[in-house]
Amino acid sequence: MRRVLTLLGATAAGFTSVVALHGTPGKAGPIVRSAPTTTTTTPKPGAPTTTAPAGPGQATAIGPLENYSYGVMSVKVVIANHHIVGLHVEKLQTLDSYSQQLASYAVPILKAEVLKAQGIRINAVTGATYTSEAYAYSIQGALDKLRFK
Amino acid sequence: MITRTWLPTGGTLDTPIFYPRAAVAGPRVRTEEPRTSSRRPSAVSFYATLAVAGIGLGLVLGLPVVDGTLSELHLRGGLAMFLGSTTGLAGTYAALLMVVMASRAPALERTLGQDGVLLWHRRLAPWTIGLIAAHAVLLTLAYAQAARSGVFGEVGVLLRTFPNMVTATVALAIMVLIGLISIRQVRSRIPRERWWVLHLMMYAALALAFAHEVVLGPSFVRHPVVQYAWTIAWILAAALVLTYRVGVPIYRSRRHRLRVAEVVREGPDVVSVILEGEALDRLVIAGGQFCEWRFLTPRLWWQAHPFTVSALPQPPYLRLTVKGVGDFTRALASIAPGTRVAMEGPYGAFTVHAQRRRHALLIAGGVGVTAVRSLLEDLPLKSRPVVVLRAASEDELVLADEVEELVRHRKGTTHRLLGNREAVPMEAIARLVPDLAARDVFVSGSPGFVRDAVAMAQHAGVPAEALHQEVYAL
Repeated sequence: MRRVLTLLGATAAGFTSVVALHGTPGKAGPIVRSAPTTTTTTPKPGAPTTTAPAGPGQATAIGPLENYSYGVMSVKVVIANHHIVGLHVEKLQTLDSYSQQLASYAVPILKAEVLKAQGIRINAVTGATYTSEAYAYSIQGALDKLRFK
Repeated sequence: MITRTWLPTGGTLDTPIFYPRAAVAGPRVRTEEPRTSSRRPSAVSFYATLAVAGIGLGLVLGLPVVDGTLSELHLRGGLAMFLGSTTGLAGTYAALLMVVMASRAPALERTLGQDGVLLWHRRLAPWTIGLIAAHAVLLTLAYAQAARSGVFGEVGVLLRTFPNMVTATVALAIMVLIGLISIRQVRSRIPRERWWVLHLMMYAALALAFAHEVVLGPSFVRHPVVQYAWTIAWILAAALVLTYRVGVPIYRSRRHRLRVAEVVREGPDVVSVILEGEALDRLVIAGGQFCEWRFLTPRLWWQAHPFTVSALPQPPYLRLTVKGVGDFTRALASIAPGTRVAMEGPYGAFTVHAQRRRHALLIAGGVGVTAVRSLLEDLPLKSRPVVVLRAASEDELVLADEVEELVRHRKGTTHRLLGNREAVPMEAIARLVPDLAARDVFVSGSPGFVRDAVAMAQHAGVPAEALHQEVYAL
């Protein structure tokens, strides 16, 4: 009996310490860029990423290829008259088919959010936190190139 | 063979010698007090070990809660995904504990007891295999649900598109196979050596499974701290196994340079192998223990066999006694003197350190006498042991003279019980030893014999902590 209690007590202690140290991600929270350099793979130097204006007041840029462990993603951003008007996933390669599905489920939601917020102050899609982050960071990279505020 | 003047332990007690015939006139070495191993397990360190194991389990179970898997419960396949992650982590953690126990690290054996380590290893085994199998099934279901596809089709998708999944599947197949052959009814039909080699494949399975854990596990991907901690834990476990199951045995075997000196026939199918070696006064061994022995001939080197040391070392000699039942033990009878022998151990908790009371009753059935014979050497003079030797017939009563002599020096009593189970029931022992319930009871012999003797002792009122058993599974 005392053995069982010791084991259970210790298990509870270990469990609590992980949860307390890390905090439970209940709902997916807002995307906050914490350490940009670790997750960004900068595009090859010299590669043309910013294109000439496609129409009046329009500019396009491809964001950096973001490595999010389950895959890589880069997003093309179109701005016109200081508004984000277009978002296209330029490149998406996932580790596995499940991540691919997850991305195809998450990206339309994220796209709508970014267009609405006109920036990346959006919430990540639950269950696709890493995909959401990669999507947002790549967009931010593109916006930086376009000097979009 | 038996000379009564030899004082092996600094002149404090006598023991019959077992020098090979050719060497009886040889050197009579006085050794220091035998260096016996393993004190009784301490309660504090036992609970500390339990607490460490529990904290580890808690940490592992906490991972799927904090890595986001829990927050995806409402998604398609989310529940199966969460349960699959949790069972995988818990099962692999149980495997880690089993590997640590398989190392037989001395510190752990002091804490849990030598039989305790083996017992816990066995108790955890069904959990490990069950949880890992559940992990595979649950995650296949989860991905099938998420992809809205069939379960069997999803197996193919998982194997083709996920990295390291083929090796992980091979690992699972090995684990399930080992689980099946370890079920008692199956295991008893497989030769011990073959089972042992198959069972070693578990290390390969764990290594094959490792990559998919850290590359795909949601608790590991993008969690470098978890990846490092997990990797370090496994490296440490592997280091323990390599040190204590490979390194130390090689070191000891090289240090003692054991060779077969003589093979002596003790009775029908029973032989003693007398080994000659170096520095045997430095070998830490207690009476009643056994070693895993490897006879280094081209045919036999790959098999290790547990044989009891039937007497404490009498440098330069060491003796083990074996009942010849399997092919191997029969081959042993004709092994050539000079054959080199490697050893692993000593192991076993059937020693004087297990004793809880002042006086002991030692019950030996058949070849079980070997452990009793060497254990007697560790009993102090005037400890008044009672020894019951049980055999079907007079010539199967091996080493009986040596036992009687050791008992006489300790002012004890020896009873010889001859005849089959019907003629001499186990209850006869209770009548022979009226103070049975107040003694430690050590029983060694065949599984059936030990079972009956333990039942008899329990019936007579011997509590579990004073009951010690050594089973000779033939």
